[in-house]
Amino acid sequence: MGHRIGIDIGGTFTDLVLLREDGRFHVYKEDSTPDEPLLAITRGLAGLADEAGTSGAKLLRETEFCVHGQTMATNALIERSGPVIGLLATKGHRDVMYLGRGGKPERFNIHLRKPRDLVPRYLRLGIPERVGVDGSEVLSLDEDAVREAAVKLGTFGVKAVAIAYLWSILDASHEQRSAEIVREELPGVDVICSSDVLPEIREWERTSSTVLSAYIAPIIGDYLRAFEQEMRAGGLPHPPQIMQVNGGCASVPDLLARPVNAVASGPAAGPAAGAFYASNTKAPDRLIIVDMGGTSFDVCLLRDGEPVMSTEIQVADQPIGVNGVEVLSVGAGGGSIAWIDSGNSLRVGPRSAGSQPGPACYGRGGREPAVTDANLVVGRMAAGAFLGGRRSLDVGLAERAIEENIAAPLGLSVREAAAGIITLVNSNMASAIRAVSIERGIDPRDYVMVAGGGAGGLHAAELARMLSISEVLIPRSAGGLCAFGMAVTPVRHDYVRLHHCNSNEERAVAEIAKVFEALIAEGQAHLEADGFNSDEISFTRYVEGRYPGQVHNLTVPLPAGPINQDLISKLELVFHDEHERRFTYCMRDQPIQCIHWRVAATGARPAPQGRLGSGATGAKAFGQRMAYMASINEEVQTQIFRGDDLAEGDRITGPAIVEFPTTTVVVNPGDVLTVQADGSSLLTIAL
Amino acid sequence: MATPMHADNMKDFDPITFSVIRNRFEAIGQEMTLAMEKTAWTSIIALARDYSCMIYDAHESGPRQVTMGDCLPIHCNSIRTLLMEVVNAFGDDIHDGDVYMSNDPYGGNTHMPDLVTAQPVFVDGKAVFWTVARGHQQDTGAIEASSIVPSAKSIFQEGIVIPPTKLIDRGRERHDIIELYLANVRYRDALHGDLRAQLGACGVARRALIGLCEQYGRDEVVRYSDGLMDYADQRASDEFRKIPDGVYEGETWSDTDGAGATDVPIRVKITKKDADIHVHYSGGPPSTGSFNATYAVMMATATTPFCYYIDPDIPQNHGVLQHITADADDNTICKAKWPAATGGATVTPSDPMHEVINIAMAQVIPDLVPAGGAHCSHGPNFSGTDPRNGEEFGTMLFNSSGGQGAAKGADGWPRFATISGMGGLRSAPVEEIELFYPIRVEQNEVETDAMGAGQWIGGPGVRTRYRPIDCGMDWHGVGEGLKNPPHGVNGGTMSPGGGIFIEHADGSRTFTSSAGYAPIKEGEVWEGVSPGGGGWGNPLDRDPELVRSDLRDEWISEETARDIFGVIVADDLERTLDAAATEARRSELRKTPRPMIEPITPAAGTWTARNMRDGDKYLEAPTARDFEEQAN
Repeated sequence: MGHRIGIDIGGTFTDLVLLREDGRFHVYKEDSTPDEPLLAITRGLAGLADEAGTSGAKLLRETEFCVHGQTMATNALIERSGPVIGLLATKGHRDVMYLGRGGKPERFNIHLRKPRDLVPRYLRLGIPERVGVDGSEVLSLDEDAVREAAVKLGTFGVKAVAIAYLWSILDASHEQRSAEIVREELPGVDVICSSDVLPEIREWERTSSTVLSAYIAPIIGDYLRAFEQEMRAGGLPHPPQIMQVNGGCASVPDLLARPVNAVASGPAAGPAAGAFYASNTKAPDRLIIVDMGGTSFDVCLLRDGEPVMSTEIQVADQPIGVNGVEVLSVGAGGGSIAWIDSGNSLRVGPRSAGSQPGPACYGRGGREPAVTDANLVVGRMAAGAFLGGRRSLDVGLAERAIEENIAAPLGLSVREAAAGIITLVNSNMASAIRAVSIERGIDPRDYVMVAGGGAGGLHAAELARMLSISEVLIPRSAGGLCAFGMAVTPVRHDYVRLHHCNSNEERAVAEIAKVFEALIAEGQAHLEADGFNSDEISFTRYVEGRYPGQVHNLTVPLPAGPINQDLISKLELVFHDEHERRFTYCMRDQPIQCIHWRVAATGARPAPQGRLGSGATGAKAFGQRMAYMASINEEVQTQIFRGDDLAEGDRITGPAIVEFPTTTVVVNPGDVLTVQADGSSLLTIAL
Repeated sequence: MATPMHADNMKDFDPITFSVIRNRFEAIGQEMTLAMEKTAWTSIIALARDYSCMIYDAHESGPRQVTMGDCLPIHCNSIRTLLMEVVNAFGDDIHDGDVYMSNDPYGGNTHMPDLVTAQPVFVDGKAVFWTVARGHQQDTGAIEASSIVPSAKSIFQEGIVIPPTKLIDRGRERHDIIELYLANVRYRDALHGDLRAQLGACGVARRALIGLCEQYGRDEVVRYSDGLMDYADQRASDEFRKIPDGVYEGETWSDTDGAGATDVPIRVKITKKDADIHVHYSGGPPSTGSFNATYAVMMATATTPFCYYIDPDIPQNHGVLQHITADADDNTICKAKWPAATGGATVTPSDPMHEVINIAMAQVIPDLVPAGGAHCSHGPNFSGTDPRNGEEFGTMLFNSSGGQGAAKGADGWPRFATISGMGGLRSAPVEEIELFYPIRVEQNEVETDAMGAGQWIGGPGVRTRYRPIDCGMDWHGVGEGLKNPPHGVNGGTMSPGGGIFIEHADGSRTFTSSAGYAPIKEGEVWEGVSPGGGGWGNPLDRDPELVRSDLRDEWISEETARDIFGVIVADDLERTLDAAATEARRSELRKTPRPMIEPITPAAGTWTARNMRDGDKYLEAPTARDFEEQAN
């Protein structure tokens, strides 16, 4: 067993986490270098090694897993800054991406502009060919047309070509042959087929997934190959792994076979981090993982030990299609701006002051009050404790921004207004949690909250109280939650097969067994090639289905056990229950029409239990000040602790504030903070 | 800060709790909407999303809108009239656990396919809210297998009328009522599923509202709900007051009344005074078919444009809606009289009744009005027997919908179905259509030059071909707006319109109005080109670089670029802009002034005439009889 390293590139910082084989861990934040991301990684690794008392080369040599999460794929999509790419589509259907499912958001906003296409129309070319609904060939592939199209795309200098034909999921030969022709004509250009990226029904999602892949492939391809080379040259004994949106990681070549998996992958590490930290809580397999950073608040769930997934994730208004960790992101972060609308009502977000100019208290010219300003004004943050003391905050500027923009217009004192901003942002975050739990029939009281992000500790206990959650875990490395998740996440490959079958049909048992057998064999072979032994490999089987005649699908896990009539009955039960939980009703006399069969194959070696390094001296307050406590809606005299002083087993009863290098934890009156073996803070909420 | 402050309206409320409760209502509306979409059975609800979910209060003056999910304005801006009928019908007999249903177009409903389910939310023994879902049913048991039959002669040919009826009585489902309903409609299993989805959505919202009341106290939640309406009222009033007082008139034409009359005039007279607006409609004679506006449709169309003239951030609740009143002259297409058929009401005359407000208001607030959008001419309903399993099928498809009208600062969106729904309807995935129905979608793609030109251009029209596979099928069409296409505003040009035809096996074609019926035989194809939206502003003011890329992307032809936009490009790979030639061309074209509204005469659309070839036929509002005669 060796060390584990997680490297997460964010907008402002590149987070590096080292989990040593003895369980001690280190977090290091390095300023990101967006133009040359590898630079920040190299510097960060040196810093991390330094912190661990070793050299960069030795560190890498002793590392077993090195997992990297990047943001350039997502950024390129949001900013539409990717390369020129082309699309080959079935003739008559080249506008699938532009037309989408139709519909326009924001019903009463007639001035809303439609986002620009990822492939401009002159580079979307229709190819005469057609496969029918039953998989038969309706029109053979016009190979000359493909060749002509490839040449045309070549003259425009495309860097990648997406190929997405109707019904290619039933017969991929037209796509595959087209890809061969394009590769012949355009050597060196990335060519990606929809039947490889997302073999699922619904052409918009499948085309989008393919186009997104083609759009980012040239960008992340070069980068990831360079990253791998750099790490190997630096001494890393195994190929590095790359974080995927499905919550697991994969090798560089595997990822580049389906590049769309690299999109929105950072926050997908949340469940892995949560599962690692929460092993000693009351519900280690039922977690609500929240991450509150500067601009957004992300929430996802671990339910019965599995991350809650979705196949409907969109990035930059386009569906990614593939199964990913469902992360609900709302505009509520430390930088979210408070404002008053024309009806005199207080609002917070979604606009953010970002890191430039940042909240008013940063003193970089920001004049509008942000959530961080409010926390500072009411004593929840210390002017000198931000980023481990690396940056000092200006209380006067924060007070002025709140006074001018909020307090005076509403006739409140500055501190009342600041408390109001905190209450409102808490409410917005609680709504997000409610949306993915209560409103889907999941009771948050059965769950433990894991709170990360620089601003997570300030608000977590209050969110928990609003949702009647009794335990909150704030990791020691809260500021690098996702980087930590990367360090401990398994390798994961997802497989899917389209196969219609009703659960009450006689053929069901035999056919289902056959489908899963094939998918599992594929996963087994893949993970063995990745270097895992049989006992390190596990599979989760899912069924995506509906009541016959229904249109949308619901995905449920297949219960464990061999596939027989009994298991099918259990599956029906699971489906009915889940339908009822989410939508208040089910139809128990109906069979389940199963559409997609999914297998998640994971390969994992146990990670060491985290433990605190030495240096702790025990809980002793170093000061006190007046601070606002949302649970009682007033300011009280509050004990202030330094996080680095705390040792395992220390207990602190609120009102208290604990200042860690990357986050500040607010302990409301009556709540109790207990320090865990790994240095995390477990808050028990006095409900 | 320029915005005047009105501290008065908020003085009784804690500003924090106010915002918290506001956000909660909106979140509940969204969750309700999602629950219905995910569990519905028919494509018209689950894929096309022709439904809406809303929360109403239980005010003594009658239920008032608190929030709407991602709704269709035609649905949400008109449901108060129906809920009033429910309250009037049951009075004291409304209990905890009840659910009501109604579809009665003369009982406050939009049209018969829109089945409404409404569930009172009781907290501590008192009804405080209603959760309401309105969904367009695939079938109503009408004389033909379509939820809208344009040629229906009266309400008695349109299916089963359901006046306010108790569907669930104190938590107990009334199986007799459900059976009565299902015995009268086609596709009973699917419609039963849709009904369950609708009830589920109401239940999801009820669960959440009870939770909200438990947290803040019932009466506090109600007080804040009232406050939310006052807040919206105040913000909307401020904006309405900015529109100059006056009387504004407009006129437009509907292609058809669904039963043979053509170019039917629709007129409006809008009286704007202080913060209130009164909309008065008049127009051509009542339709002898089903294109007659119900009261609910009239209210919805009159209010919707005013909802988008104001800041979209203002909550769309009763506080806004109460500012607009409407009526219509008797004996016109704008005011249905029992027992006239009304099935088409939500598109015709609703679409022209909506547009005519923008035409009237263009003279006073040109920056706030959009150009005309495509009417609901391309939402064909296909039905028949699926040869793969012998079962009856029916589906209404919006894949061929036309474009949205341009607005200041924004080109129109494509597949904007419909004006009534303000783009809330969706189209179905091609692969799902082919899986569920014996239909092959041969083409579904943007048509060149199919939108109005302007500084901002309309959303494009699309060309769509549907071929029945191994069978024939029936087509029912609704709507209009082909002959009288979406208008241009502020110097923008009108849309060229569009058309529909049946391509016969021998290559000849029968063109039709968009409203009507035709059999599509095996070997034949239904083909439509939908109108794009109208243009906003003078095309000569469009950024030449945008015109260049429009041309390269084949949104527009080279002729249009040159003759309408005055843009000249080189014949090279990148179609490089010739700035000097463009400037010269534009100066020349500028000598001809552009009108505020185009067209100002009926039947200005030319698409069908331009596209018909020798041997093609044209049928206006065809019925089965037209084809029986043909066969003979």
